[in-house]
Amino acid sequence: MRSTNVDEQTLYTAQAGWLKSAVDILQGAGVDVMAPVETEPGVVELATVKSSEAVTLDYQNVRLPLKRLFFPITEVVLEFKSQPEGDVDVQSEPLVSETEVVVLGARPCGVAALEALDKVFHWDYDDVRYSARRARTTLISFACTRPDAQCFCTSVGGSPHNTTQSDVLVYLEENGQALMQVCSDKGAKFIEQLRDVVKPAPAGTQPPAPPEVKEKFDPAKAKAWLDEHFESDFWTEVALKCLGCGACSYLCPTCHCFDIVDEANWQAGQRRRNWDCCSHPMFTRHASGHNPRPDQASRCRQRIMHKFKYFPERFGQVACVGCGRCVRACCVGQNLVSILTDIESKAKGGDKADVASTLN
Amino acid sequence: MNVNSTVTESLQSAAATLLSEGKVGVVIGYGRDAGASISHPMFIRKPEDAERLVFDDCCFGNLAVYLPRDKVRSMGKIGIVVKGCDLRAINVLLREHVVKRDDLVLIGVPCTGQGDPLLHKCSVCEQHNPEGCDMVVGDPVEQPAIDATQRYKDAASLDDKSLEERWAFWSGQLSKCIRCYACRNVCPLCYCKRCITEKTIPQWIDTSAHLRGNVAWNVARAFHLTGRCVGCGECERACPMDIPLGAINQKMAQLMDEWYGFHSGLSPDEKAPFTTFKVDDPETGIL
Amino acid sequence: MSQALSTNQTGTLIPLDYMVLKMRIVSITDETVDTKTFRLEFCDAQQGEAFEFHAGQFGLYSVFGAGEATFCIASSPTETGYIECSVKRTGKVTNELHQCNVGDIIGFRGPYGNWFPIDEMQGKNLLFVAGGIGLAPLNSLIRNCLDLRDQFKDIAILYGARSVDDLVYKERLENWQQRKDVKTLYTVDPGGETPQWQGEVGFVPTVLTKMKPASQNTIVVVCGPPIMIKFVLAALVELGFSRASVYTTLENRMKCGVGKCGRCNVGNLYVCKDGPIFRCSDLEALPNEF
Repeated sequence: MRSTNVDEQTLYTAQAGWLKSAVDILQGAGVDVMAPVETEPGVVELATVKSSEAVTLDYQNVRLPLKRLFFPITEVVLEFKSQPEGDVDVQSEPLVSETEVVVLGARPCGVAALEALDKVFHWDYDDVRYSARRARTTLISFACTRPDAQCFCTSVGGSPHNTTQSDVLVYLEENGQALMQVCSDKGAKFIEQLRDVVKPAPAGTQPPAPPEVKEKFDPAKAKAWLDEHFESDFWTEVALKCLGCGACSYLCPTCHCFDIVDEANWQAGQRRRNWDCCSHPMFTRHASGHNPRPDQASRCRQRIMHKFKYFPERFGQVACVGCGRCVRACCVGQNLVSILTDIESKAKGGDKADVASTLN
Repeated sequence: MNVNSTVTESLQSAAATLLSEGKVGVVIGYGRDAGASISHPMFIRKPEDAERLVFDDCCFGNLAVYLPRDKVRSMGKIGIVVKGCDLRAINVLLREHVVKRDDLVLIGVPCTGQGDPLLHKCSVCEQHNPEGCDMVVGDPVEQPAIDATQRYKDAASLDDKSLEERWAFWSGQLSKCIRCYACRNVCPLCYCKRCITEKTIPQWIDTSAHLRGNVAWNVARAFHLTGRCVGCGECERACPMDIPLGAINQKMAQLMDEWYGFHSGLSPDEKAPFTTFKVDDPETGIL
Repeated sequence: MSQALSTNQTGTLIPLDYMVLKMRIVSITDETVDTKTFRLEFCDAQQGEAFEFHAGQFGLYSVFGAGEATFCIASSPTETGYIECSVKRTGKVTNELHQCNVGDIIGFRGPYGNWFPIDEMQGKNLLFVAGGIGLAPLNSLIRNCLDLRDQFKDIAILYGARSVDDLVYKERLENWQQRKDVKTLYTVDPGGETPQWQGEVGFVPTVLTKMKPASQNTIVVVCGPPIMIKFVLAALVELGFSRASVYTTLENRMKCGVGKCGRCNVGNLYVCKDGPIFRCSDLEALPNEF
């Protein structure tokens, strides 16, 4: 999905006030502009903006993960309606609007997560709604400047300056200027649209060094342990305090499980696709009552195994970008990082290693 | 974070004693990770692990949520650390026969409030010193007089709005709901084995996170908790979308107060208005 | 794993928009007290002509307003113009389906999943073992094989149910029994027999052991409840069969049917894509989550 045919010149400098110009130029070109907006005190989300005044640059990350732009929390896939003589009219919901979308100010971790989603929605069968939304969207990431204690992108191959799946990575500067790194053809087009406010960076310009995010665990070592420990008391321990809600999955930028449901009155209705989550007991329960994952231990195990073992085996990468949302959102302080560090220490110490203090 | 070291020390030793004497199979309390923003639930099963217990002003969780769980009950008799507000939830679980008093050892902790700034529920809490526990660790704390007019302040501020304004407010808030069910799963009184949202024949509540489904879900939740909710505020704290669920619960509590003079969870022997038959029932609130 | 059985061998992506084909119910057969077989015809004749599938594949059938549910296609690929599915009433969608009448229109997506290795079966002895509603996926394969009878050597069918009333496809069972080129053995669990019952009485694995099928040059296909599969497999191993010559189907819950929604995951596999047909020797490597 990502083009690699990028001009050799990849760094540009943007003059102060470029953001205002960018919003105006894109608006003028009929593009939907999405940018970080403070939607309620202390909460920033990506929202459609008409002018740069609504945009805030003071945010650590947006609350909801970027995936929702491509894989919405709920969407109509079919509409149906009873017709005379027992017939039914079934219509596929028009896919998505053709309008181009430019996201200004996505965070690199959320954008990198799309690499995992692209693989799922684009293998064997191509999920046309997801793909259409991806195709019409240009992602201008703003380099992360304030990783917090819950961030762990560097543990899973990322960085505050990760360019994966970004079209342009923007390094904001305090004086209102910015350095822009073009990463794709879509990014080059964006720079071209901004030609009045950006110019090629002087030779030798280097992007700034990323802020430090401590590496907390090694997914490869964790996987080696996971390979051998489908059955382990560890999962019972991990699951003890887990309440089995979906906050971690729903806020996760790579989690992608979904449900398909019908909602209708006696005459007409819709078939919808909704976010779903492997922590919920009903997720795998058969109508007969049989449940392949009957307890929270098996469900917690599935979440960890899927991200750090099954997904890598199937799609060649871990299904985690280290954004830390799951850690922040958990109301009982369940901590993916501590689970993974515990696993790593078990891998080092063999099975005798105690379940570490952070667990339950 | 401010650790209450007196309470913490007494707690650790009480838990160690209970476990080593075999009086309980598990003590549910709080532990703390370095760098974490909350003290989290912890299940101590060996006396030597009791030193990992802590009590501070970030012990937000209502541990009563774990009492109905089979996994926890299979550990034997349960010792549980309870703040006054948590005790109210346990009283409801006792009154609804979900747990038996004999299966519990209640370890009361005097609490002057959680959070900085203090949580709203703490500012109107009249249970700083939990009563009816099997033991209390630490010294009693002063129970300040509370301003009862503040008890329902969030609900009251919404009551002042017009119907249209209130709908605008709630439709805006409930539109945010992502149906993760953190509010339900963190609630000590939402212990149904199969929630109404999971029942499909008929499908009572749309599971889609659109306004219709979200309103149906949140109203059903409020109804199921009316006269039961003890105002522990866990649903609002757990909500990753910052929906002010406490205001809904407050409104329901306010009505129970006005109609029946009832405050849920003050005693395990209380008669809840909606589950008690009286010939002279005024039937207020019945549509 | 079962890569050779993958559905999409062209390497091109198939567009997925969840659109369904409309199908009309043309007949309904009561199989048991809670199981019905529906024969469905494509409302659009052209779609019907273009429709192809292999025995063992499944589809998502939908009652509009109630939702989709997954069932195998129970008719044979050699029978064209219609498909059949057998549905046990257990949940929301199956309840609604059971209330449908002849003439009603339902939705269908598919065919999805891999299929029975009918090419590999050629020139071999075939042993089909089914329990209860598990005869549905086998019904497709058996009918397929009988339509191509001369391509296979001996064919034997062992079918059991809890009671006589729980046997499905009774008419077809009789037809198979009357054929000279098929060996049939029908059984009901002890206590499930009627005075008129002419077949065996005993659990399927026990009857299988008594039946003593030869393992040489034989492929076995087993479908039924998980507990039956487990004991049948043990009995087969005892009789000298290798697990690699035994196939079965997994029935995990599915929503998308095409490897996206995550519901049917068992380890790194998608039952909907890598299955539903699995070689029993491959199942051993999977986490026990089915």
